[in-house]
Amino acid sequence: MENRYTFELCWWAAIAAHQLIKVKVLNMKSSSDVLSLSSITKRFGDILACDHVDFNVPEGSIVGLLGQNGAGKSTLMNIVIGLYQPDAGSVSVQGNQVKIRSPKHAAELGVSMVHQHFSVIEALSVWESVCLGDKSSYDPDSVKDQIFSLAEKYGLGVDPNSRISELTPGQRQRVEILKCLRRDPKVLILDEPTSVLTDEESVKLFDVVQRVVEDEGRAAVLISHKLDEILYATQQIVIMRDGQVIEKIPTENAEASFLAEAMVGRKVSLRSSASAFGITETDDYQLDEKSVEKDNFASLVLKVENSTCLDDRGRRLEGFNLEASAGEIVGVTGAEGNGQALLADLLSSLVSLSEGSISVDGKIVKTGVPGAMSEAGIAVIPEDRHHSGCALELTVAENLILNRAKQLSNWGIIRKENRDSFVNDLIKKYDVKASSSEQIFGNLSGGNQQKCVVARELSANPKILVAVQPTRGLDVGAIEFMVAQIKSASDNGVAVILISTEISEVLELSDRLIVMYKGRNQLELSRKDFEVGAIGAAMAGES
Amino acid sequence: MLGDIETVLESSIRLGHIFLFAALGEYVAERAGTINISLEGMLLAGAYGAALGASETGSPVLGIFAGIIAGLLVAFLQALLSHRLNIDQFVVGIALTVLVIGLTTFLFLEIKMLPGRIHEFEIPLLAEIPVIGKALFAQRWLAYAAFFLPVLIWRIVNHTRWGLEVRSVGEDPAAANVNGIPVLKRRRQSIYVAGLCSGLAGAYLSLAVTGAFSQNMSAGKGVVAIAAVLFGGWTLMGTIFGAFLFGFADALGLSLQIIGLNIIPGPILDSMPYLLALIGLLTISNLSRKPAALASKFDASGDAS
Amino acid sequence: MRDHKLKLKNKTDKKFFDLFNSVFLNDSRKILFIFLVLFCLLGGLFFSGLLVAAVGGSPTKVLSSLIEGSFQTPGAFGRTLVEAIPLLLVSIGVIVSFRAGHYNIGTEGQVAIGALFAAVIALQIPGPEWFVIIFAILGSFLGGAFWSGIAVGAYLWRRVDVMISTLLLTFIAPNIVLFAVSRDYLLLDTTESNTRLASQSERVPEEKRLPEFEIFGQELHWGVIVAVILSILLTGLLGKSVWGLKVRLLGANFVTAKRFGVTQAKEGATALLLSGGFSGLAGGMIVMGSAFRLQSHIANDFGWDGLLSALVSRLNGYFAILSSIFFAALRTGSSFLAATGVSRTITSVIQGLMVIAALMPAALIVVISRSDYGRQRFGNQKKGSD
Repeated sequence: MENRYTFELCWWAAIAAHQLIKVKVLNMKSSSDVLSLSSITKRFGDILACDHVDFNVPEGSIVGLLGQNGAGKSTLMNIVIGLYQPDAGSVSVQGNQVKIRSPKHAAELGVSMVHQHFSVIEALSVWESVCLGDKSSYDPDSVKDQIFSLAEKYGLGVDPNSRISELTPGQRQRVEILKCLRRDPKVLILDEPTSVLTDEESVKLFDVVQRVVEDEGRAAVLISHKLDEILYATQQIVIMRDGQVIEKIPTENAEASFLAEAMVGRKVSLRSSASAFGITETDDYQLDEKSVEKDNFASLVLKVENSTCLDDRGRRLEGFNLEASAGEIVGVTGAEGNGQALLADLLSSLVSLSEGSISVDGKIVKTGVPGAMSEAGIAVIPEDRHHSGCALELTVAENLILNRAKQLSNWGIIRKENRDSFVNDLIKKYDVKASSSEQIFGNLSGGNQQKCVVARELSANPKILVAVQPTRGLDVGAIEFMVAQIKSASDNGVAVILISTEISEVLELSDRLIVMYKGRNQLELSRKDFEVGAIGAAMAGES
Repeated sequence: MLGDIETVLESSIRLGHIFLFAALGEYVAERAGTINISLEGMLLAGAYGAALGASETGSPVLGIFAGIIAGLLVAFLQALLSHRLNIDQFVVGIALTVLVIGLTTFLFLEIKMLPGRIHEFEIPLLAEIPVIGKALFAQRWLAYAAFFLPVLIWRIVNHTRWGLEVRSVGEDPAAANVNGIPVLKRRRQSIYVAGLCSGLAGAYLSLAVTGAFSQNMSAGKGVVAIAAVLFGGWTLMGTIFGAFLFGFADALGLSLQIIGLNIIPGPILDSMPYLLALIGLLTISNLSRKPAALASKFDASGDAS
Repeated sequence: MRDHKLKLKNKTDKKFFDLFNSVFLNDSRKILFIFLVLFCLLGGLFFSGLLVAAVGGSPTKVLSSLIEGSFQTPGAFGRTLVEAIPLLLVSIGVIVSFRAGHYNIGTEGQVAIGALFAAVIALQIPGPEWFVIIFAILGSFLGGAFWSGIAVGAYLWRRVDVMISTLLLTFIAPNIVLFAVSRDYLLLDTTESNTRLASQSERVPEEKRLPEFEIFGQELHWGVIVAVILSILLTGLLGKSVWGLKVRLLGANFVTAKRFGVTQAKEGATALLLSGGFSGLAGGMIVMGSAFRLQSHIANDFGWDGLLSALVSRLNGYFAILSSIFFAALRTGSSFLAATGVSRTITSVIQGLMVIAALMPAALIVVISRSDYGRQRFGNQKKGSD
């Protein structure tokens, strides 16, 4: 018995020693790290979002956090800024272990996030947006002074008294950064910051971040799924997949195909899922044979002619032209806010033209007349399905028959047998996971909701399919599904209009490409003439 | 002739104060993005509470406090049900108003009250000003709150941190939430302001204007106050203007009688404030100041994404 | 024959289950929900009892008087059913409007104007009785639709929210009726029976009233049949027809609706006009079936109570039949309260409390689901997985 007792004592001593050493090592490691995460674990129900994640951000560096949607990087960062509490593991800021209770607390500790969907509010002025959320006393003048001095120091010029609604996306991002800098952050976290910026604005952004980080004691984390961005702006790359850290490498040793493979976990074609990686480097990119064959498209199906309109939100189209033939995929791209969303709304019967016309198969379709575009054979997969693609409080079945209720009915009453057989077929064909067709649509997961929208639109045998930002926010599996749908639609003779700000996606899929700038056709290219440089220039308004 | 105008102005402003107090409260609440149909209930509750309080204690000041508390009670319920339990705010507004009407009528019939009327208080010198003097400066003393309340509201909404946060909640609650602002809490607080102001309006109605409580005496004044905010395009000046315009309509019957023009029949005159409010709503084209998130629901539970 | 009976049973069972499913949630929280509904309803009754006790009355006495007055005395059940007719019609109208996404809460005013139209036709238009009756009933529908139509016009023309405009119109309507019944060149009763020249119209002559019939010892009039048929018809249409889907789509998401050809100008306006029409029809039922005389307060809270009844029924047409009877029972039962010493206005307080009690379960279940207990019991209520 005595032996056992001694044995246990030794055992506990060993464990204690191990922990002590671990802590010491950790502390040693993190003394030059501004931010250090150790063995962070977080569960949501039975989903393991973060699995024993170790993550360190050394002083003076920009670390890239790379991963697909759903890999856990957002959750990890949300833990760092105090929105979630980890189930296990520890966080240290500048060597001190902390429990980050809330975003406020995180800001006090020096951890500051530059948001993806901006946290500035349209109707407020710049200085009001900057000091929103402060707990100190209300002092507009001092806030404005701070804005001036920070703007000068880092080259972030913006007028404190202007209204947010008057600013461009690039300027709004500057306000976001000013907000962070004002709180003297030690770590700046940038979450997909360039999704609404042009290439030029993105470069400017990273220059500013580099300047900020070079200030002693600071660091930054860049979360992105765009490989070229990560390769450009960071010194170190951490790759996450399925909640785990897969790789940690210095950027100079990294290469796009390696990164992509690590992100996805298997060999993947950078091109076929191009929007997942945001690749636009022509080096990595080769033209498909597809392009050369499909050079003449027979029948012109859609003609948007000399179209002008201005809606009440200030969005505009100016003499815009677009032609699409059966089986052709026409890509429409440009920086966000140059008329793409308005074009999509136009083809959804949601706005009307003040000048010009739209015709399908030679027949003019009245614009702005509810349901007219749908009747004419134009199907739309909208950018935001919650806004214009579905009705959350209706059932799955009802959502699936929105475009064919009359066909399924007799004397105005919807025949249940017709409806059920049609709906069940569709659910099976598109592999929609729903407990029953009577389930409330809003209770489906996002991916299944999107499948339903695609199913409904394609089931109408449309002449034209308008897909707006179809792969935004999806993981690789869902992206592959969507791309397959688009390709098969075009193979079946549907004219596809692919509206997307992801150049890579447009480059990969389109037979022809139109770059929009301020509502106009800035550039039109056939596939054989695709050239990233020219497209980038056109997006910025140069010819 | 001048005397007639004086009298018309005097009664218009006297009745306009009711709308003004309530509308100022709803102005704050709508800047936060809420619409409170229960304003009518808050007003009526304030009228009853003030009458009961003044009757039981013999002091009009305590009566006014009682009225304010009654208004706050209704506001508290609206805030709790709509902005903590997430029940549709219009439905809650209707239900609460009906409940208050029923409850005040019931209690009115069960409990006898003798509240008495607040004294008039003429401000010397200023009351002598021709035409507007009597209207503005020779009212019952509670009316003079109308000089302070708008300025107070203006300061609070535009020059305090709380006001900034309330405005941001009304424009973009999601962004406000990201900034660490307690969205639902600010909305509830703005409704409390509405309750306070409407309670005051009710107290003014029962203690200063009539000196007694009668069944359902608010008769839609709360609704007209909401219309004043809309008509004013969600601006402070517009709201004030609307309130007094509807006050003028409310006093039209009296005014015409005084002037001696008895041409418009009684029932039509009684409809004037509501009719004018409706016509006023038809004319507002200035929707640009509408709080962008007005009447939108905000779900405080962030789903893990 | 046996097989036939069995088949029917299964069909009704399935129907009830579908109804159950359509109203309640599609998951394991159903049991908790039912419990909450019962708990809240009892809670509402409990607070009502408290109030009665607070003013010195006896809650049990009040309850028994109400039941006596509404169901037990001879003919009471019939009177309650007749009282339920306008409530049911208003409820149906409210349901159509709310489902379309518009808050038509001006039902009290629409009832009054509908009643006005019916009275004008019944009292002024000559002709055979059956013609006048039908014309008056149709006219009441038109009257209510006209009154809500003003709000429709304001919305389509200037985007004035239907809620505010209908509410304002509610306060104007009784004044119009008052005007009509206080002028001898309009509807004022100038016959000898009205010696004080009270502001009221003549009585609708007996032959021009809605025909009555007797069943199980209760006196009812044809309005009962019309109301029940209309409510079943409309509820069925809302759920199963193309039009119904369009209306509900409009209420669920008006942008998506626009994409598929559903507009405020067509489906939205129709729903609102129907809604006003049903309330107007209720007014016609009152004038032609029970009151037989027009006064300024002809609507007599039928409009408000019908609105509340619709809210209590959670916008479900079948439940509306039940809740209308409940609200009607409160109204008819209240006449027996004089003996208890408690003022009859207690019933309006009970109504208000019951509405709030009906709103609570849906909200409470969300709160409970998100609490720690709820997470344990029902799991993290995330949406379905990919």
